[in-house]
Amino acid sequence: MNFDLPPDLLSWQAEARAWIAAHLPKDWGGDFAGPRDPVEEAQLRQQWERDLYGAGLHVVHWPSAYGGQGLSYLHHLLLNEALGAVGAPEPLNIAGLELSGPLIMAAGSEAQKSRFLPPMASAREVWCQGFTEPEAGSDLAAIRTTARRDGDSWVIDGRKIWTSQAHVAQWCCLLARTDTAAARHKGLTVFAVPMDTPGVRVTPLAQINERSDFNEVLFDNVRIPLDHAIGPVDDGWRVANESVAKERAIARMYRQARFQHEFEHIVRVARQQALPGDPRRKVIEDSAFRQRMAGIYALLRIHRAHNLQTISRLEAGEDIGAESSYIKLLWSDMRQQIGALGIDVLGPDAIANDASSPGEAHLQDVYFLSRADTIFAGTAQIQRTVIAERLLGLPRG
Amino acid sequence: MGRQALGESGFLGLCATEACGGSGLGVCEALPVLLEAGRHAAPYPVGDAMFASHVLSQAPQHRDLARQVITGAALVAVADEPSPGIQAERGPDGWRISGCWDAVAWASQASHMLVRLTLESRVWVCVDLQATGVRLTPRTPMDLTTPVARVALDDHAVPQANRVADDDARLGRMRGLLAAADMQGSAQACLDLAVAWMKERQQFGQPIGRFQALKHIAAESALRLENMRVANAWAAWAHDADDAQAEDAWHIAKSYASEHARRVAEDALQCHGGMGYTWEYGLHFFLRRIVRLGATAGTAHAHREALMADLLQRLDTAPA
Repeated sequence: MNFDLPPDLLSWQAEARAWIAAHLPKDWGGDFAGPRDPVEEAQLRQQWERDLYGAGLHVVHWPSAYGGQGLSYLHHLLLNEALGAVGAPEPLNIAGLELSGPLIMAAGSEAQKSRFLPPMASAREVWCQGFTEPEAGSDLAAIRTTARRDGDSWVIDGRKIWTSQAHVAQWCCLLARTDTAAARHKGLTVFAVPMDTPGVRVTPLAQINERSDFNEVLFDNVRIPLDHAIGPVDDGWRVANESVAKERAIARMYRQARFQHEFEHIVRVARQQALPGDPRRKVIEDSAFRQRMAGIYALLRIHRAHNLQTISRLEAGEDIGAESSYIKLLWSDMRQQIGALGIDVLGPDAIANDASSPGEAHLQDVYFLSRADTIFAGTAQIQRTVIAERLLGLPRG
Repeated sequence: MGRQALGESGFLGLCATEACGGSGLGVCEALPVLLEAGRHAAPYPVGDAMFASHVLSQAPQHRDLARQVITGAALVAVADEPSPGIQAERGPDGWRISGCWDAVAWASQASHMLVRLTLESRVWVCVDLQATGVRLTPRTPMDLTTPVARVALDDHAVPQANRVADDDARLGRMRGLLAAADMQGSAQACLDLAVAWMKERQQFGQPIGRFQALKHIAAESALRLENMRVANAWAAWAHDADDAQAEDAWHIAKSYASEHARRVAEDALQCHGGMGYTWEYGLHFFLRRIVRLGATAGTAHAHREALMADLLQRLDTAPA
């Protein structure tokens, strides 16, 4: 395993860091991680994404024909480390970048790639992922949304849920059932659905952290052209799952640095925060807190080592399969430990949420956000079962 | 018998100088050997022999001893400074040392002991265990693959020539990384046994590995091992490259292995049910070895304190 970083890439990263520092929104950092108003937040994230793209610092590992920079996976990692280290705004088009884009790149026609990928890369068009349904979450093959062929159209009927960014998206990457007689995993097809098609209705859902990033999306007799099917008809299960394992390992690769940034912020708060029950001492002086912090810090650095290993393997032409489940399990549990640490460092200051003391409101935010980490993109329970069955070979249940 | 084969293999000299018959390689190359030593609970101090031959082969007056360690003809025990410290008196040629080490692995079988001491500065010293002023008392070992003895030095003469090396961070790190790799190997053996067991053992009309509760324990163990693997690999690379993060990487690798290798062994025992608790099944040999190595070359607690101290210092100098 090679952990060496070539000097020319480090120089490139240094330039990226400089651009990021010069262009971060005013007052960014510390307890301030962006506007709380959802419309303002979405606008800020999309503008940031467009600015990054304009500076050649977005989807750098995508082919340049599709809006990327044609650079290596290592460039992708180093750029993301620079972004994460300052807790930079997250791209709005996450569903596009980590699911729809790779899916279209792997299974789409050349016409579809040319049509969809460049505006996705430049954040001109935002995508949402229409997979999960009320009756089909972990059991995705149980989906009921149908796509029926009618003349020169597909007609879509059904309902999707937990659809992040559907309220701001121009396109939906949809998984629907095209053959209701076939077995569960067969007879599925992936489609590109314009969100402004008549019959598409988006209803925002409120999250526990008072944000509303996800939605319910109703498809009521929605007509789309035949050429909006992505990949072969009835082959949607394979098309939808093909890039999942690899993207699980490399999407949002700013996470490790971002979580380390959150963690280091909590440590700084701990240096100022009085220890409950012993106000002469600070939280950081307590050995139990320090031990806990060191354990988390070890996981953060181990996560980074995993990222370097993943990149090495991809650069060597290897594919990433079920072992990406290890990484998801690692960082999602670790992020929850970070969230809980923040709450415990605040102590009684966690009770109010109006940002009157250092860390307040921001640390609670991290805690509540972290509760979703073990659920979305494959629950921790699913990841463990994948590891047990596909990697350890234990018998399927 | 095994000792001779080990000696002939050359593995014990992997990190020793080529002039002494070693291979002059780094910790990265040593890791796979330690993994195997751990997987088989090897009844020989493979890691400490590699360490001892590495240190001794670089001291001109100890090359013969280094050669003997490499061939397995001699065994050199390795120990850190005892925690109450030692008394050392400087003399015309070297020191006279008094002190007691409570449990040194392989000391009764060793001709020499390589110890880290604070004299005028921190140094590694080679103690001749057959000389006067040395009392060895075998003790009952907790790790049945590794005999231990109390070593008491009473006004024992250590000639200047036996000051083998100045201590620097690298030496302690090297010894500890070899221990972490050994622990990883033993933990891997435990998981392999548990997975094989769960595929075979039937209850309620099916292999118990079909039950999700057990699957998930195994999955968490597999994740811990993956974490150990990258942590040890990264720490070994950082050590060999003298990278700026080598100290941190070492604290992380050793503290992680100390806690999580043990947890993997504990969970493997659990997955075996009653069978795991029997003497004969032998899972406990790995568990005992892991517990011993966890307490060697720095406990998880000590490494975490050091890690936080480094982090806090770095945050002091970094922008907020």
